[in-house]
Amino acid sequence: MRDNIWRAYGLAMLLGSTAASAQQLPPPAGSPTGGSAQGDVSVTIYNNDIALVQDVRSLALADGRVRQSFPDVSASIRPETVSLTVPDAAIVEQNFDYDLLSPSSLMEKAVGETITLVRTNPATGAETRDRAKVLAVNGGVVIEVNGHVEVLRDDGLPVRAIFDRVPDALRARPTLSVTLASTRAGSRPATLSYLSRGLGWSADYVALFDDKSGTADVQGWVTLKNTSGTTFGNARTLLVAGEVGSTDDDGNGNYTPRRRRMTTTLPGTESTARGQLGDFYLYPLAERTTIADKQTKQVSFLDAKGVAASAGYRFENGWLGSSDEPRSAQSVLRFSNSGAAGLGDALPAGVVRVYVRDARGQPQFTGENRIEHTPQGSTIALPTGDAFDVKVRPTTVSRTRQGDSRWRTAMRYTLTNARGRPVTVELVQGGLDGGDVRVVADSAKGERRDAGTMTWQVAVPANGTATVTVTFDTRY
Amino acid sequence: MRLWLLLTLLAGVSLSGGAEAQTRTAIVTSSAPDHVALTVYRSPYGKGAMNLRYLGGFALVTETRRVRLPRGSAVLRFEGVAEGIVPVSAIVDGLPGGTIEKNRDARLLSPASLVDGTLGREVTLTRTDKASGKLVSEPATIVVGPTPGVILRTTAGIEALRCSGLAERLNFARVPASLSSKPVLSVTTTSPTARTVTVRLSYLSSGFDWRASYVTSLAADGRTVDLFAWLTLANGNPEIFSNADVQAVAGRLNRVAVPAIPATAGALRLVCYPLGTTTSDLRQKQFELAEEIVVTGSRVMEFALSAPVPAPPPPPPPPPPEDLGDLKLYRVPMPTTVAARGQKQVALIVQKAVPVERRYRRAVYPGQQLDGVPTSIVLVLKNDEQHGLGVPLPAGSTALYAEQADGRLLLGLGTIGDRTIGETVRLAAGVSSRVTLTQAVVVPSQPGALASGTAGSHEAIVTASNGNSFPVMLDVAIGAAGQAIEADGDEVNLIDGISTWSPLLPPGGKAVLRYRY
Repeated sequence: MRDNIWRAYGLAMLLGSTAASAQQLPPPAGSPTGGSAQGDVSVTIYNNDIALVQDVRSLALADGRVRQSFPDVSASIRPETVSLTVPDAAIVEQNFDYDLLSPSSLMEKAVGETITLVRTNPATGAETRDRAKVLAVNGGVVIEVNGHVEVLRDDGLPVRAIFDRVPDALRARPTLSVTLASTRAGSRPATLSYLSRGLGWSADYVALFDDKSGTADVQGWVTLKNTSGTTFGNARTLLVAGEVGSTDDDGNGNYTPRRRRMTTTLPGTESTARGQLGDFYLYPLAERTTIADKQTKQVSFLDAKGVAASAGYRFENGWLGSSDEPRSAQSVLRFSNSGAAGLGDALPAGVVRVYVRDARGQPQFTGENRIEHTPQGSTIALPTGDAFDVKVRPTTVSRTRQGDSRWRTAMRYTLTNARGRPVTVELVQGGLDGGDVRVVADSAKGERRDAGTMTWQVAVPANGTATVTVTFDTRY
Repeated sequence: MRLWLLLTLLAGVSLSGGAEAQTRTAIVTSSAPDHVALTVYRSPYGKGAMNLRYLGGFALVTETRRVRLPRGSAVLRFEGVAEGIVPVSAIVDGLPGGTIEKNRDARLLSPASLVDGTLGREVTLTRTDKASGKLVSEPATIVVGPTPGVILRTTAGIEALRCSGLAERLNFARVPASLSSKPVLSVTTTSPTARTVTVRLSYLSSGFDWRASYVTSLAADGRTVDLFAWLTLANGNPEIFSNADVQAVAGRLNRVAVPAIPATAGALRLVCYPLGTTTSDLRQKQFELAEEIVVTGSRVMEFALSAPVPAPPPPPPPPPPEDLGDLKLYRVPMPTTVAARGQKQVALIVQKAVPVERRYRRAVYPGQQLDGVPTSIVLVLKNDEQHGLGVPLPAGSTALYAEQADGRLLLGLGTIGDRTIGETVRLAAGVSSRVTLTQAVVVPSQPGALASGTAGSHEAIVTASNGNSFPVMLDVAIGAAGQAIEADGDEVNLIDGISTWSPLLPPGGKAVLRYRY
């Protein structure tokens, strides 16, 4: 069916003019230095694999109905989101063509047309030229030469098949094409805008922590990744901290597996000097930049010296958790991004890498953790790893039955510190929300921050031990 | 260290007929570091021998490089960084104009990307006459490529590459810009004056790991052990780190998985139009059909297996570890070379004559039926200075040997966890079938005193016997930490939270415990 149409088309082309030979070559795509067909490009990148690309190109349009192709759009374009604004022209239809040019499709589209064959004599190298009409391309190529029908390269001898032209409909790459109803001829700027996948960004922080002075130097980098398959040359770039599309119901509900060491944040309420768009923070890049395909690009956005910070320890024990050997407490770096603490900026989601100087003054890596989008003025407790020298051994000493659904549970927590200086451990007993849980006796006063947890701040002397004993009364 | 410094001044315009004229940006290439410091972190749950292909640890690589910066804007390319670099962790210090942007480009030069980067541009098509060897060249333009197949526009018309049966090849004028042999890390900077600066580049890299291996030998009297630990470092990267300052960090760090853009080098597949013939079904000589150029990589595993055991005389004791935040940093005292895809061992800890206590140990569940099961022998060390130790001991494998007149004898193999100062260390010393344990559930001595199913309603008897000609200390840990175990008198004590019965068994003697659970 399609072959018939093409045969008819081919005949029409043969009978018609030779204007088809003035066919444009597909422009090179993907090479940043090459003549990209992109115009003035602006890229706005969100965190959740969405980018808005705006591309202003100058189009020379004829009057009437014209078909315009847009090469060099993102290879990860979401075609359903394309919109085009052209003065004095209306859009008739938009197509995203995947009919790609290949040796096979070239031969298939040549059915009914005439091609040139160059036969080479293998002994002498002498060339003979024939014109041949392609009759069919089904498993092999059947051609008609000088009134005889034969199969291309039936004898296995070298034959060059030379085509006169590249068919219009075939493209080197998936290409967006738009049919426009133009009301006047002439050149004018057209704004093409679409959403693309494959572009994303996150933040990366470097915190150089100094325990003695209780400060940290914090550098922030925005990290931009381009896996879209297309290079965006000399683009104006804007990064938006925030996720668009809040009603994405993928059927997974709100289930997120609990991570072993989660960053806890007390959200701040300070406003920041950052540019905002609704509830999103904006991070424009100062200069136009080329976002090459398969590139990871980092640009600095924050450099704060002497931010107040402190190191601490945290240990959380599950309900009835007992351990036959001491378990390491988490090392936690606490800092604030308030203006008073020296940081004074909202922190987009990303990974904080913590460094500490060793005895020779060289920064060494001591752990990393993720933070979410953090408004200015927040207090951040970032677990960086497990402490080697500070350990806790929780023990369920006794469980005595007090009645049908009432138990008395005695817990003992032994905290040890092998460091040469005193430390304070935030000891947390979790799982207290299973019923009516009360403390009937304790060796140190704790704080019930919520129904589920009880927290003690336990000072452990240098090279010493501290013990906390608690008795819980539980009614279910 | 040698230093190669390549200064290439390229005007952005001269690269091609680029659309917009760019400001002149110099490209400065630093091909190798002058000095490297390597801090190796271990894989959190690594056990046993390391597999150089899958190393779960990582390293912080700190490099010092001397570079000559021109005045004005420049792109500084760092070559020779570790293959496993985590690009987002790179920190560059020492640039007078700061870092404007850091880039990591993973577009690699390959047959496919060469065609891709030359799409729409002119190449030279050369045909070789197979009979005479005569070469015929003509200019051609790549219309389509690299997948599926390559189509060229020649002076004759449109042709598909390598479908004619002739020997055809393409010649490219140059490597397309932005393609490199390896992923490249580069920074853009602006220097107020031309000058030579020292740049410090640090980054995290995967493909490293280390293990602690304890080799302990028990003295003839059985009262002390000589403790020696090897630090085994492994580098799975193809880069060599010569004369590096090497440190190892013990302890568990939190890590966040950062997805990196994989460096892809696609294969070039030349596909032709269907070339079936009237005799395709016959068995015959295959003519040149579509040829396939496939890029493959192979890893060469080449590392000299240094003879492991018996070990050479141990090197001088290394310095004690230093505190790094809440971690422990062990420094290799002298600069050392970490070979590519290799592993090496240096001394970590040397402690002579550490007193040990020999104990027998068996953990049982309440009510478990046991008939003369063997017990484990452990050597108990107290990790403090009074007991001849007092060093943070990183987790690792242990091997215990007995020094005897006629040579060494392997007694036991085991593992220990991270043990800091003040903690108890247990060294596995084999299994004894001469000290055995029997356990049986018995009828409660006070039947019906407690409802069935509640704690204390069951009763069991444990019998320990010693077939040795010397007395032994036995520890029988009953149940889990926190489980209520009742026995008469104070026969059962809580050790590490677990109810433990610790009888002293005389030579050829027995001991019996009756307990409720």
